[in-house]
Amino acid sequence: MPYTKRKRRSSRRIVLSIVATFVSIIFAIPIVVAVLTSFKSNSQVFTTSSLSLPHGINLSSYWQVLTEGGFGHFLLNSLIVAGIGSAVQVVAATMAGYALARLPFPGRSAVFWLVLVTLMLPPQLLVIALFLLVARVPFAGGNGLLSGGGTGLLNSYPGLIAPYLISGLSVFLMRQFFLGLPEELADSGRVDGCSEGTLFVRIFVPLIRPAVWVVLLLGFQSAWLDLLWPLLVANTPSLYTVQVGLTTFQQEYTAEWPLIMASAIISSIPVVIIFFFAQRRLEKGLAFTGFK
Amino acid sequence: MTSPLLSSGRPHAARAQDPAVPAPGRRRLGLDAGKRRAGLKFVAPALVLLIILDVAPILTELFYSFTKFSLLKPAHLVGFAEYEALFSDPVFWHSVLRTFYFAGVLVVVGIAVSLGVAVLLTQTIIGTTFYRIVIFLPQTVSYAAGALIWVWLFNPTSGPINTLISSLGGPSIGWLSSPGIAMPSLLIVSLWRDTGYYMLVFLAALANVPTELYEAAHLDGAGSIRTFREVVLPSIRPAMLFVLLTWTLGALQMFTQAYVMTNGGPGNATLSVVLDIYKEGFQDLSLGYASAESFVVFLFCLVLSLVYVRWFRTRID
Repeated sequence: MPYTKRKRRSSRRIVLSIVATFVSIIFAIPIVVAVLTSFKSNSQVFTTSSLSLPHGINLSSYWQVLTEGGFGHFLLNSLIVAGIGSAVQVVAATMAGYALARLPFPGRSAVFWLVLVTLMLPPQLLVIALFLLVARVPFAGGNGLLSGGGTGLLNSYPGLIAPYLISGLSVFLMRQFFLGLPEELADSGRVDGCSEGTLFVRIFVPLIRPAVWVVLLLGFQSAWLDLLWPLLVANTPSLYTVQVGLTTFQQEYTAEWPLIMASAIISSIPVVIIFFFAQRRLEKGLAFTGFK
Repeated sequence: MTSPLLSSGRPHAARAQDPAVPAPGRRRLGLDAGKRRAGLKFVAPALVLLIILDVAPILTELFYSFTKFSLLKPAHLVGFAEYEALFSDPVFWHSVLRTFYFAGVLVVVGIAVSLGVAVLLTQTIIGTTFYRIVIFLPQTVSYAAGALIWVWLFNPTSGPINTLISSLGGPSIGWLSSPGIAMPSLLIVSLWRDTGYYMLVFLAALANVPTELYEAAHLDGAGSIRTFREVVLPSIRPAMLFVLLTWTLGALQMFTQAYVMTNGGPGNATLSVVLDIYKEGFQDLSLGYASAESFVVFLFCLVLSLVYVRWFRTRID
């Protein structure tokens, strides 16, 4: 009965398509409503339905968010903090991952256990101690060598970036990726007289490039999203990251929904652009990461 | 199937060199010494950063948890006094329970939804790329921005959701103002924001399930539910552990949604532990107390992670 079977299959396909469309609509609606609201005037928001189209595309909220709100500067701060943090993190993690997987050195298992413990350390639970340590950095912000009393690196870019410079998870993931590569690759290089540094840069790093991208994106994303740390460390608007900017903006413009929606959308645009360009790499990388 | 995520500290077996390549003893010794030096050099930057930014803080926190300390006065040792205060504080236990409630529901419902969507998008239907992009889209919105969007959607008087409900003749719902509903509302936001990423992880894992396994199950006459339970689930176990661990630890650290949407209210209904730590430490300036609280929650997380890993290992054997 090939005919009925085909028919059953195509009706199954239709049901699945309807379910997928329904799920996608649910996920899309909040963003659609936010975009539509951001184009309206404040009075339109309360007189028209939230799914109705605005009268033309009114960009004044976006303009106000960028000029009065200072979001251009907040975005730049976030890009600096998350960019530097994730770049240092991925370089340090790739090198350490390589050493932990491929280079026997004294104390290697101790270092690996340290990585495993830090992997399970939730960063938000370290903020108090990090805050106290950052405030005590010697010779910064009015501190002496050991005498605190000053503000250390609080309210500075280095202080803002510090927690994102390393993550146990990145080191652990990089080690696992390097373990998956055959050792013979290195042997031929060693016989040719390459140094360990050359082998690493020329042979191994290119092979695990998809994984490097995943670790870079994860590091960037976690630094970009963080609200708690910059809330504690950045005390002047010139150092606010975009997440801090969003919360202060909300308190300042309560119930001005077009402005608040515009601020939420502007804050997401850089990440949309990053994912747009990195999407292929991310999927390739996730496929590579050994979820087999 | 061995997975990188589950194989723990496998000692790196010193491999014999390719017999085809003559390696005189001296030269090999030189190579090993070179490897050792390189290893130390390669691991040094990450090790120094981990010690400064993870080990030092956790030890500092442990130290301050035994002190009474506000930023205004110097710390002095009080033994276990802050722990005693913590354990007898109903607000602390309340916030722990609320946080576990949040994490438990988010992870269970979240895994069901993201795995369900991932399986759905591996079926032969038209437009899977489009669906995937749409469901991933909230992932580009930060927690703070997503929370703001939903504060508007949940707005009791003029927000889209209540407007829709009232146009259908329903009652006005206090999404963020009634104690029983506020936490489910935060769960909806988090689920909306997080699902896309874990869907991608599951999609990557599903793509790696060998097709022969499906064929074998088909030949055995297994239906789709049995195939899912006996072929798919065991094959994606490493991804499952990854998702379970990262999502649970992430949910236990929930701060932004509660800070932006409810500030822990109404009446502490959405007070997560991290929000409580923030309030104790930086609003009430009880840093010793907040350190003790952080350390206790850290131990909860550690135990939970170990239980997960253990549980998955035994189930693999």
